[in-house]
Amino acid sequence: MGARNKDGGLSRRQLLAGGAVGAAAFAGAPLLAACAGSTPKSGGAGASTPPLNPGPQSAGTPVKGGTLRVGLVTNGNAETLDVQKAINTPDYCRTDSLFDPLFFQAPSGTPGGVYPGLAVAAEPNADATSWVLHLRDGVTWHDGKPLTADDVVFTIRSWGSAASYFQPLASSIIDFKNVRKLSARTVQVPLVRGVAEFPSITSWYNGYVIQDGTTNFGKPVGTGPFKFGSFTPGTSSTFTANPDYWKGRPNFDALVVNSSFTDDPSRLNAILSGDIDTAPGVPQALAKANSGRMVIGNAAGPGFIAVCMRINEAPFSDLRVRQAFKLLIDRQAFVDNVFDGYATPGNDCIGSTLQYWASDIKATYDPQKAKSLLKAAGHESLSLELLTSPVVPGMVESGTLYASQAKAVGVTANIRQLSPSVYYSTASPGYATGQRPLSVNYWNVLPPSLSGFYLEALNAHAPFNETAWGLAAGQDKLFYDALAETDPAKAGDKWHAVQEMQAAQGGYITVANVNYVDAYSSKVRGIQTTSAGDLNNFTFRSGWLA
Amino acid sequence: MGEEDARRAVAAAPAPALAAAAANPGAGLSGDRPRRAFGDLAGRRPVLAFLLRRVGAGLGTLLVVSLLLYVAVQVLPGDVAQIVLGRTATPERVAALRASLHLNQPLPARYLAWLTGMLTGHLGDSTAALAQGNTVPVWQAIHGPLGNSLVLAGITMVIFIPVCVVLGTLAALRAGRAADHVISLSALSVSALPEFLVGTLLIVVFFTELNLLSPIASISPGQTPFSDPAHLVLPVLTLLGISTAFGTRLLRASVAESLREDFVAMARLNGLSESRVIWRYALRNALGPSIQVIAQMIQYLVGGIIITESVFNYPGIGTALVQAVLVRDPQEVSVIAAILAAFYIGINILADLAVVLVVPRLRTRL
Repeated sequence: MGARNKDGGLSRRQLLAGGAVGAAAFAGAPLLAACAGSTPKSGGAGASTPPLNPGPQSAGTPVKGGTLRVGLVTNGNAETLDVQKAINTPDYCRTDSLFDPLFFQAPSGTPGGVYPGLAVAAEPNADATSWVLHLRDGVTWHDGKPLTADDVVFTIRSWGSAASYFQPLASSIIDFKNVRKLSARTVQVPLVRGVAEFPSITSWYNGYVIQDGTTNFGKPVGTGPFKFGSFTPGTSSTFTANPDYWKGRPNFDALVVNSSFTDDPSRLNAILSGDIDTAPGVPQALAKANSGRMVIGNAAGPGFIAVCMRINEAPFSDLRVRQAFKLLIDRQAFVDNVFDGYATPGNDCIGSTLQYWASDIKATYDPQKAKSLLKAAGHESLSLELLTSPVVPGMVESGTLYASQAKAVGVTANIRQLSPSVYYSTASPGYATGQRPLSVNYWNVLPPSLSGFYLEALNAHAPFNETAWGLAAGQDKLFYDALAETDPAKAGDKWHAVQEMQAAQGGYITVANVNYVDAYSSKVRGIQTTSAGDLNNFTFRSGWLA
Repeated sequence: MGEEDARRAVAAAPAPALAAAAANPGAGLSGDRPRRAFGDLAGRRPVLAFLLRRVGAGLGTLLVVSLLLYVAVQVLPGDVAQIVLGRTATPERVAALRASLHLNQPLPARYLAWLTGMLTGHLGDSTAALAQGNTVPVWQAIHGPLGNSLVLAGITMVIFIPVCVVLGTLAALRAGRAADHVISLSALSVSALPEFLVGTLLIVVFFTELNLLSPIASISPGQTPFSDPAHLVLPVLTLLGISTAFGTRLLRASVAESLREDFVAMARLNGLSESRVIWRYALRNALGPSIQVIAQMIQYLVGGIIITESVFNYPGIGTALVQAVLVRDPQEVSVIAAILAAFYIGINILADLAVVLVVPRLRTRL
């Protein structure tokens, strides 16, 4: 608990600021934070944009030793160390430390969106339908065995098993039967279609490399920078540094992932009191209220929140209605009011900061045109349901703000709020089905390429086809073409065409591309918030405590 | 003849017994006592019979409660398979997972299996963990939080009882005067504040301003609540704030009422010292309601303090139950709820027993 400057007495702002940190997960918390308004640093209220900032410094001589303590909101007994079933932040944070992928998710600007991990290179054939992976030398598992091609073949085949959450995406492109090892350090991976950005797909959390023959993750053995120590689901885990890590032993002696927190203000309190060192994924309002008291990392990323229209359901099957719905929203208002400036306006093209993303396409705000389009389509006073849920901060608020803006053009969007426990259920109204013509959805982490996201959500066979895209004949042709294009210049053009089509006709109305926002204590060094994800996608190997 | 017969009839019918029998069924002559459970025992050992009756009723209540709770988890929208799979849920995946978790068996069969397990001490494994491929025995998951809650409740009660007795008696003795007003008014205002507000104000004062105490009371695995006792101060203060406010007002009322009784006036007139009057007469007769107040507080403290646990991130049984409900884990919810229900019922029985023991008059009125 460090020393703190304070004014004399308990001013209203201090009481409310203290309240904002202490007043738990009640609806009042964002309101209190807003009332607390300006922190000691920034003077104005409301529309100031917080600067992009990687957070802690990375310059300086690393200090060896110490324990990094990460604080996360709990996922109860459903937390797991099983790479194949990792599905939430606590899972990702742990499996990313115990295991390594073939290729790591890279911050924006890296060609291909990834950099080498356990694979040093990936060679495609002419049409990207078959890849040869070259594996790194000198990598050992935590139990001392060396990494071999057999491990990689086993891992890739496991992506196709029903036990793996990777199965829907992986099985849409990989020909599992014919995955084979060519030599001790090379593996051939044939695909069912050409995918030029295949390495980016291998960086997905559920695809991290596991040992040949793994059946049980009770005491997991990986190649990662930290070794398994102990794990209590829903409470915490302790891992120790791997002295033989192929990138060099981490500076930390140990990593403690504390997932006992039930809400976000407690996590920030814990940073202030010195009980944890970092809290990834902080709600925007709390980050703003605390930016004077702790280090806040803020990075643009591909994550987004969108109002999704099912384009094969009335009234959205009429293109004019879709266009009207896209024109009626003022996206800057979302960035300012819902996300407190920790976001950028969306342009209905998913994949901000990723390679080939069309940053030049801008969304237009034209409510008059929206009105006339609706009138031409015969829907002057449309009334429909907008589904939303407080799964992540900003989803319900986005729905409410969208509905109020829609009112101005004659559209009555009645908000229907479901509980987070049932928002992704298959029961009616089922997620990604026609039972939800209009709903709010979010993506926090994506496979780090346009190929990855479109394979997941924007083609006729996509497992998460929220907008019913690709069901009309020929709608996917441009996409499959771009997917297989190996020449970067041509790929850029093809992906641009794909995105122009999405912007004009697609079902995604991205209200904002949401930044990654993390909180750190002032002692943390060498860990940053980047477009690859919170805490640089949970990369702790290069960090240290000052 | 009529008059003499009437007189003999009246003489033959014992009048006090009639009156007593009217007022207290079960007491009085054996000929008039209605049949009830443990009838003979009730005559010789009324307290034991009372206890056995209450325990029997308690077990019955527990059975009904366990059934209701088991059904309630099923009725809630969403189920554990859907929630664990989250976005990756498809009808096929959900069906496969439900089958592997045995969730598609008929409800009566599952309830009976669960009940048998509980009665034989097999508390089972967490369903949510099984859905993710882990085996986490429920007892392993909850014995820590249960112990943590008991520690917090214990510490609070140890302070709560004397504070309430002292403040309540003081307020009753000085009824209508300054001390009473101060005590009653502060008790009223604190009890009107919601828990999280009291907790938050304490954090603002002791952490944000004075930087004396930690706002987080979490406990790492392997540690006990006593590993860092300073962490317990704020949660205990929060709980004390709410409970002493409530308890003081109740105790004040019962002591004040007891002070108005004839025997207190009689004792004073007989020249007994004031402290003797208070201790032996007023307080002893206010014990009945006091025990009920204490019992109610214990019940609340063990299972109902989820909000305080949330504000301070204290890993108690309330938090464990809420997390289990959020993920709709049928095994864990049912086990925790059954344990808490057993605890509540047990406290009720003990409190009633204590009242009966402390108030001798009640023993013959059972």
